[in-house]
Amino acid sequence: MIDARGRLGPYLFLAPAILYLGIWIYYPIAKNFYLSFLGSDSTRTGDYYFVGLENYRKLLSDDLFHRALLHNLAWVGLSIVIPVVIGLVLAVLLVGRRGRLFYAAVFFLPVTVAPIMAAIVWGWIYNPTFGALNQLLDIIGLSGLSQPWLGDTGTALVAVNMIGSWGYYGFCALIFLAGLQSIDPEIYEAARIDGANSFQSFWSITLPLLRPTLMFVIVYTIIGSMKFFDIIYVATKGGPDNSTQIVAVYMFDLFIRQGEVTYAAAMSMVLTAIILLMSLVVIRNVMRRA
Amino acid sequence: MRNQLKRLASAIGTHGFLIIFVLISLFPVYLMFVTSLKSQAELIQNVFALPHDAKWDNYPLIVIQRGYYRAVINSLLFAGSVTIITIALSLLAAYAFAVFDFVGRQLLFVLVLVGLMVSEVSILIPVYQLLKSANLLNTFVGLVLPQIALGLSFGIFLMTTFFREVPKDLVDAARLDGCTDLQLLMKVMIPVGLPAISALAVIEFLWTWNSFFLPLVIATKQELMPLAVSIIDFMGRFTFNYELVATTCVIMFVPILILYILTQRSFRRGVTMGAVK
Amino acid sequence: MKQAAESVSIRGVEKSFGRTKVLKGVDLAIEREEFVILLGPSGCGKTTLLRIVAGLERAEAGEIWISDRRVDPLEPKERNVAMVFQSYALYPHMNVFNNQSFSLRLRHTPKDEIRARVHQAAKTLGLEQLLERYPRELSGGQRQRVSMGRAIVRSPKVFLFDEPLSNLDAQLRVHMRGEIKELHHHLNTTSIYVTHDQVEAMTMGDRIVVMNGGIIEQIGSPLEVFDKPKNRFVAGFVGSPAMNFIDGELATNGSRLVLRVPGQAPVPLGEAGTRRTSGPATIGIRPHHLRIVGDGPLRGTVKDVQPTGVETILLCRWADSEILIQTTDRVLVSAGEDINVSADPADIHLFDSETGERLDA
Ligand SMILES: Nc1ncnc2c1ncn2[C@@H]1O[C@H](COP(=O)(O)OP(=O)(O)OP(=O)(O)O)[C@@H](O)[C@H]1O
Ligand SMILES: [Mg+2]
Repeated sequence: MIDARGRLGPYLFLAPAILYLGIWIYYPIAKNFYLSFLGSDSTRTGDYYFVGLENYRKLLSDDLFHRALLHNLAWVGLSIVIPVVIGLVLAVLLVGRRGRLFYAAVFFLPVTVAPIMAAIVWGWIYNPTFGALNQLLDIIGLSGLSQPWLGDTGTALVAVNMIGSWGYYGFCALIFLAGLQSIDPEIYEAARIDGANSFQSFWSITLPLLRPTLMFVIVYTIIGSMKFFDIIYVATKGGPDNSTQIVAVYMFDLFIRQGEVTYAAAMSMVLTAIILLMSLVVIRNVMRRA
Repeated sequence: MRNQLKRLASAIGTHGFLIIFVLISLFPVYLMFVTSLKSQAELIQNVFALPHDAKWDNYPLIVIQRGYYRAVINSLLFAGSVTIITIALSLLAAYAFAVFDFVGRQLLFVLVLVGLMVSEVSILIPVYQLLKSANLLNTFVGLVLPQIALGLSFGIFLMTTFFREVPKDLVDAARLDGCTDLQLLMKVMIPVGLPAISALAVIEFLWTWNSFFLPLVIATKQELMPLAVSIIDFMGRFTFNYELVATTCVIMFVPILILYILTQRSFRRGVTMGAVK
Repeated sequence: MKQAAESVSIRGVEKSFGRTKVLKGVDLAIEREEFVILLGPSGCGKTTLLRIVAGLERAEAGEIWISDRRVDPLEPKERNVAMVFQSYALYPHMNVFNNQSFSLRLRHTPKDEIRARVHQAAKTLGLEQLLERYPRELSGGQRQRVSMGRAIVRSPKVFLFDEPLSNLDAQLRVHMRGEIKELHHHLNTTSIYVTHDQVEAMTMGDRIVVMNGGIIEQIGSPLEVFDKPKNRFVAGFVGSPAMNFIDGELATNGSRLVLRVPGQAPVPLGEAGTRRTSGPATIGIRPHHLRIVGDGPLRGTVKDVQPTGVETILLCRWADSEILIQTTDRVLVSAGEDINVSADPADIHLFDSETGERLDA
């Protein structure tokens, strides 16, 4: 590394990017923080005054916000149980297998599909009148299970999560596959010689050695589950009856439709705080290796 | 004999399981294509079947008569400029992080990593106000500027990781050969880093092409909408005209599909490089 | 391609990484056309010194002069020095021609001249057939040659080599050693050459600079360093197999100096002359200077006999001391036998036990 003490070089190279991030990332976050302490009598005039923690107090008693946050948390759980686990299983099945590149390419295809498109197409699949899912249930003789998947408060959240999972397991599989391929195959041979069967070597070798990758995927999933927006906005808009309401959509609605700027700012601040907290885990990890 | 049978059965089972996921992965994409070619009646009759009499004229109808070519051009310009500017800024910053040792390097790198996590949700309100006060709402510039920031940290991170792996001796040799910093970047680091740069370009293009949240707020004028926003706008007006909505989706997806088929390796490298490294 | 050679002067150079001081005041004057070897154990600061001369690293104290120009404030490219790296450091995206011409192109040298110079260098190094190839299509020795070609096309004022041959196999190394020497005879460019290899050090350089722990221990011609090591470190580091050291007390036997070694007969060290005649001291004897003779002063048990064909190496032990004996005689002793050895007083090096400095007449 070039010792640049007293030289401007590196700063000149960094200046454009850092300035850019300053204007469009750091400043907005600071501004958001500031806005969250303001309030106004009329949402239209834009005359704001300092209200202290008033917005945050309001968040504490806002039932809809609590539900939305709960849905975000449920989304974290579902996303770890479904796409992450599926991705792991697929990667384990693929590693070292002939044709893995083909499978990986196919599994990754949904990742390239825009979330809004996934939401639209899956909206048709879930459609009560011509939906493929209900028709499939008919074909295999389970027509009793047919229902308006996105229209029922009981199934909507899980159904909408499936859309997200569909666009995510291929991503997980690819990352796990890369992680698995970086494990030295000789370790498995050594374990075989020591008498481990394939389940034992999965538990005692693969999982521990895959831990950093697993950590990354989980943290990444949590962060993603906090900030996602597109699928819900397109598929359900938070409905029916707020059963799929999430913080980002609720906040968007407050800001764009109701003009509740400062309250929305406080809400996005809570989300940002959660995300940054989770990010610390990642950053500490990266810096240790950097 | 028994062992062989067992092995065969396990191979069949495994491939069977994998094929189920192949079908799950492909079915919605298939559905999108066939829906765009079917009439409403045919759709309700059998969603799975290929169209009897493919209605290809949906495409010229949407692209030309409904003016969808505009959205396609908007998306190309939008994703293209965001990608190019992001890469330029990323290369400059990554070069500094990877090659120099300077006061504040760690701190600035952490700042960049923070940007990696921040989402459009966290910055929506101030960005909206900023654009409004600069009269940039509903302008192409206003659409591009904040979008770059969302992928910039990732680009810097990815390129820094890659540049760090360029052997130190190579950098030293180039400096002895007489390279200035800019020449070192342009004539050595960039050519050597081409695989990583193309991976970044592909990922960045995909993200921007598919991005929805900021464009939804910033581009409310139809002439400016990229495809993602345009489709939702279109759907708001023709919700039950499935074949037309499907057609718009196909139009949006085909360029990405082509890109994906042509640059699979870059795609996958871009995704895994950030994660596993 | 030849140009007037330049001298290099390194004055009081100090360098730290973080809290560790890597160079603790290095002074070295290199004559025009000289080929100087930097030799020293791993981590002693050889590469760091080379990089400071090249301008790739900044020293916190001291000066670097090339002829009558002070270069330490200058950027690497303004110093016109060339370096050959251990890893070759060829540009993977350029073919051989472009690798070699890169520096000239950066300086906007006219195209004809570039072509002439690259072909000249290619001819000198036998690379004419390879100019279109990419580094990945070359063997180790060819890469090595390209990296030298890249250095010589620029007609630099100084050549720096950082262990350029250590990635080659033994045979190729011998061959390239000859080529580099020949190249130096041909171009006469002032060169600094870092190596770990004893043979390279002894055969290639006009002078050897022995470094240790960030300081220079000795500067001298190869034979000077070998025959008259300035201190115990140099004595032990230069030469293979390494010199034997035996501790004892100085005493006199008439006008003659002897070393009393516990459990052994006194070892004669010749006329005392002006040397110290008492107190603790260490003698050093190279393995090939020890002879097995019935009345030798040192008696020990043979622990191991290693015939290598040309010569035989014996490991001999007494109390907790151990010495190596190297002889071209086909010795007829075997492990377990006791033997006596002696050495000509003229071949015995005498060092102060405390400071390690050579004690000379
Ligand atoms: N960039 C650096 N940062 C921190 N310490 C360094 C750096 N470069 C070298 N050092 C330390 O400085 C000391 C001298 O290193 P140098 O590379 O000069 O040794 P060397 O004599 O070339 O060794 P070798 O024969 O193994 O190549 C070593 O202890 C090394 O760990
Ligand atoms: Mg070294």
